[in-house]
Amino acid sequence: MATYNRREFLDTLSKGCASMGVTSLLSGITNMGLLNAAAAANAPVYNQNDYKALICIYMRGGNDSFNMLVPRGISEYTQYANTRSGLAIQQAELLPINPSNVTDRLFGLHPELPDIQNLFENGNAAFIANIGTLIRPTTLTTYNDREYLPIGLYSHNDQEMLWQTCVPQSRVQLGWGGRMADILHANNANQNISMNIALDGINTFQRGNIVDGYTIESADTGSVVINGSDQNNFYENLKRQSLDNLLDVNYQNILKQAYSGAVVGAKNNSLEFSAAITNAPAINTVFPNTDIGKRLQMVAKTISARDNLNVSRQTFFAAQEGFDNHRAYGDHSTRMTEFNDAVKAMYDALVEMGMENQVTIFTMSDFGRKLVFNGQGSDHGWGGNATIIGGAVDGQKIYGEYPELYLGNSLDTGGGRIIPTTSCDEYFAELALWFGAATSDLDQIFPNINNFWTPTADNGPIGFMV
Amino acid sequence: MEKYIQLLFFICLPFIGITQTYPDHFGKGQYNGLSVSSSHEMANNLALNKPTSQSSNYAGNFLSNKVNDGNINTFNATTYEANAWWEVDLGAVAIIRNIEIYNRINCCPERLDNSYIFVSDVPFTTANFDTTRRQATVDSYHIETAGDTINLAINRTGRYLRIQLAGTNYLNISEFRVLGALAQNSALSTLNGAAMMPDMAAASRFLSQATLGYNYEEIEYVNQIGIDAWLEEQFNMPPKSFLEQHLKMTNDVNTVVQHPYDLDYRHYLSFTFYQTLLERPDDALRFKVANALSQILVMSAKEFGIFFNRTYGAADYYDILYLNAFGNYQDILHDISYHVSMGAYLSSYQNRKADFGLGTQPDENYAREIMQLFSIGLNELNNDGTEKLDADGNPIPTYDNEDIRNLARVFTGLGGSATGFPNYPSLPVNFDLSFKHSNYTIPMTMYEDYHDTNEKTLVDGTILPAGRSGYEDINDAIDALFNHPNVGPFISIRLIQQLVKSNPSPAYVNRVANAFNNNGSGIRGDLGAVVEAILMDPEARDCTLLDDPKAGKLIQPLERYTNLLLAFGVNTPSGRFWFRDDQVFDFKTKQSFMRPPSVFNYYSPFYAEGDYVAANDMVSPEFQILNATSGIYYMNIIEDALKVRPFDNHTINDPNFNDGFLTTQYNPDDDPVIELGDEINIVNTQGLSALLDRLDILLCRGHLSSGTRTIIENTITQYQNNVPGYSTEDAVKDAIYFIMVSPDYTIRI
Repeated sequence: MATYNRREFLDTLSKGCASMGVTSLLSGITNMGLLNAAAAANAPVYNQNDYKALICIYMRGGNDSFNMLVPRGISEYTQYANTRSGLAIQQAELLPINPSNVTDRLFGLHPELPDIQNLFENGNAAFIANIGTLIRPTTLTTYNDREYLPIGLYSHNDQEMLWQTCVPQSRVQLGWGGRMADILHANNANQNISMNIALDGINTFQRGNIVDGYTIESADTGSVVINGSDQNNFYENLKRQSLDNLLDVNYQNILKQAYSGAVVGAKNNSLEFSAAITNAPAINTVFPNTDIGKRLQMVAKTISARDNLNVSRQTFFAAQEGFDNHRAYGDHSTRMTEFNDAVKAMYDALVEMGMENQVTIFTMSDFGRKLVFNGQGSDHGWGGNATIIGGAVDGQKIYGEYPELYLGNSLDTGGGRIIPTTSCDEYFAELALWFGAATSDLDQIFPNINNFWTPTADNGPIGFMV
Repeated sequence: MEKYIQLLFFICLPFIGITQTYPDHFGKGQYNGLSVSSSHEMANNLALNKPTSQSSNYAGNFLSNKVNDGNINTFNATTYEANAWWEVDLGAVAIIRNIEIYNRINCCPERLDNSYIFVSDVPFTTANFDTTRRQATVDSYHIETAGDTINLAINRTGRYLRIQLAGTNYLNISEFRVLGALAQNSALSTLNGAAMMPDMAAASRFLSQATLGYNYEEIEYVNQIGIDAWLEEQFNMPPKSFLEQHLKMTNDVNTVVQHPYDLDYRHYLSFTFYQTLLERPDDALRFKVANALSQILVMSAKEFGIFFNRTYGAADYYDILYLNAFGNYQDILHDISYHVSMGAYLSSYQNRKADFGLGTQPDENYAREIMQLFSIGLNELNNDGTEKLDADGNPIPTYDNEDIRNLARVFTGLGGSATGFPNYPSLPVNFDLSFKHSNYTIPMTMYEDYHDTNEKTLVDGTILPAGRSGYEDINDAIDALFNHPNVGPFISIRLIQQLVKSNPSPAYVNRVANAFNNNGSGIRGDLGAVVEAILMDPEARDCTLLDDPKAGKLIQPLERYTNLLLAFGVNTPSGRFWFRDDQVFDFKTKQSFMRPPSVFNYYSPFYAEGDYVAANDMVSPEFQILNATSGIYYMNIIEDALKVRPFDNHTINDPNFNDGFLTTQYNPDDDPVIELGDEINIVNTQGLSALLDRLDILLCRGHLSSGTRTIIENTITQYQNNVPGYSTEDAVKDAIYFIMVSPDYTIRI
């Protein structure tokens, strides 16, 4: 019997979900009911040649992305160096790039990003400049008048949430990846395991009304099974049966019911997932032995298991920790090294699988950091720069408007906290369209998209996906 | 798949309001003629028209059935005789909450003075007064002065009830009512076997709120002395400095690894925590509150390297929370704001005023978090914790970015006061002294040259005039935050969520916030008063709230583990408990001692699980770290703790360990073992059912549901019948495992 979902509903989303039946449920950690299987039967099932995946690398703590993508021309570099003071990277150390769509400005990358440089120069990576959380286009005037500002600007937990929800006017619990999966999940033949796969802990991005993230870890087969699950004897068989009976109970107490639901879903799905990974084609690409390297390695294994899992659409969320560099600024270089090495391995693994055109890697972070130096590191900011990597990316380009970096410029809210000129909505709507969302779905996934872009059938808001 | 609806019974019974009873040498208690609490809900009169008898009949109109005919105007009468009695048989064992006796109203109520009520699950063996008082299954309650009505709290099971005169007289009663419920499920078996079981369940529930773990003897102790007395004892228990424990631990480790300056120190915090906890500290409540505070005033040791002075500093920081657990919140806010560990963690250490030459501006990290997380929170609150709303119905932010910039300028100029032990004695002590080389146990000092002396405006509108010292600015700013009306409800909610329940009612928050605002002696911020208000509140204690579907909280994973270890006890050959929980728990259950991933703790107080909790406008903070991997890992950890070993004891030096730092390693000769001797003995002498009775009290606080219990009994019985060599010890371990993975345990109601 299916349990019935009574989750938070955004008013703006009800139309899309209603078309699928508001009583249906898929929690990634709860078995999906028959209702969804019925819904799936009425929808076109993508064939597996149509497999697509989005990999979000979440740079937790606020990536200092004005040190990731840096102006290299003399006058702009001088402004950069003056503003950033002790944080500035030496001009000669920057790795030059040659964006095909920028002719009048020079740019370079953080010196620890040589493989990102290669991917960019080969047309398989692009940057989006000065992107951030916005409700509608914002100027210094509207900022000073406090008009339509995202809640909790410059604060970690709020900004991390808003990047993932794309609803910056309020604190909602559903993410855009979850809302997108609510619309698309019925197309996956496998309705047990969520379309949204979370590495090492749950997140907001993948939390939908119907679909929730399925958490795996970066070791072994990803999922964790109950001790003895691989043994077939009287003791373990009865233990499994008794755990089923003991956990799968309807409780009057809501927290007990929630606990039961979570653990039952985890228990049931872990065996299936584990078997799919175990039987997947091996990947020879070597991944770096870092947290983000191990997480992306598990993403690669899961993509390799796509036929076993019988899925055609997946999102992945892998966080890279340690970007809140208020002090110990050398840490940012370490983060860049880890990012470079892990992404290179991920891309190489995609090439090894022949999946580089069907999988797109993109970055999010809490915010770009404040440009000025605090004497030891940097503080929280707003707009920043993001990276997209994959064969389907119209690469070797810098999209959006890279801002001027002198203090007191027309986007500077103070100390080099830059008002974003491209919204998260535009960035993610383009990814959602590539992933399979219909133009008509976009305002259900991104309630503010119409403030930035009028959806049309033939191109995305920014144009970075081929 | 078998499904059943959990039956909720009031098997936890209230402490408060029961005027109870001096122990009668032979039985349970004594009724002193004063009013006794009425039951919370009027259950059926279980005695109505049930079979009765009495010692003699005075006349045909006054037979024994007049006492339970539902008519208060009729009464019985025996002849004038010694130890006259009247009895009723309820027909089945019931859970009896109260007995109400209506005395004869037209004359002579004194005839019931100095009488006894006897309650038993099994028939009385005799009509003899003294023998019945001594009958093993019988509880007796003494009525000294009867008055018009008697209302007696019973709170045990029973089928056979008798009222009997201690002296000689006629026995007259208008009506004898038994209030409660027929026992049909686990509640019955829970209550069977021990007369004090209902209060044992309540005592266990209290201890689960007030401690990180406890054993059966401690439940009995609380049951014996009562909650008030236990709290009083705890408040007066002298604390042992955690820093001193940490130093002692370090010395102990040095006896194993004899290169003290090269040690990998990062694990010694968890060594110290488990060693101290598993030795059963006398101040269990203080440990619990310190653990709660460490998740509110977060200074995580997660990013620490191997350096001794940082773990030493973390232990000293923990002491602020631990030693002030019943102290004043204002002192805590001051102490953490000057602590080198916090300065290093949230970058107030070496935070300098704006320097145009260097192109620097003050860092806002600490200014933001002391407001958002440590004192006033994001939005203005009513005293009951609900958000104030503006005219448009929107929350009212407590501060904006200008407030943060002002407060960031306040927190400038702090730096190290001394070099740290042991490696850096020769470094100059000035503003440039790195936090890595600083002495973490001496508060940061003010370097006025680096302090912003311009005027600042605080969140409450207070103006700090230009030209004052850094200390004046900081102290006044902290005091202004401390006195903000948000702090009471803000801190109260978080402490209630840690100790008692995830979704307290506004009325509960209001009562606790009142205690924060004024401890009764005009003092604000008295955490002892707050803790007492939290634990003694009707919403924490009252059993009528147990069936509220929104009650309870998910016990945090670390506490589930300490619950296991402390419920039964752990022994090791060496007496050492050197457990590196970070190696296991960071990864698997997402919580280890003092290592949250960020200042936002392991989970948000606002997190709401999606399928059930958010839909009911509730929150469930701990569910943020319950996911498809951690949920299963927890089950495996409990099973391994019981069947393999509870943890690897790192009590040996591994000379082959070659990552550049000498460290302690797992010692296979020093395996810890969970002590299950008492439980094994119970199965051997009283059977499996008695074990489940005990585990129900010890682990489930009397809330083991009948369904769970039946499954466990059936499973273990099948194992006993079918698995060769299946021992009593195996049965005990399986019973504990199944209980501890069930929602009856993990959700503490």
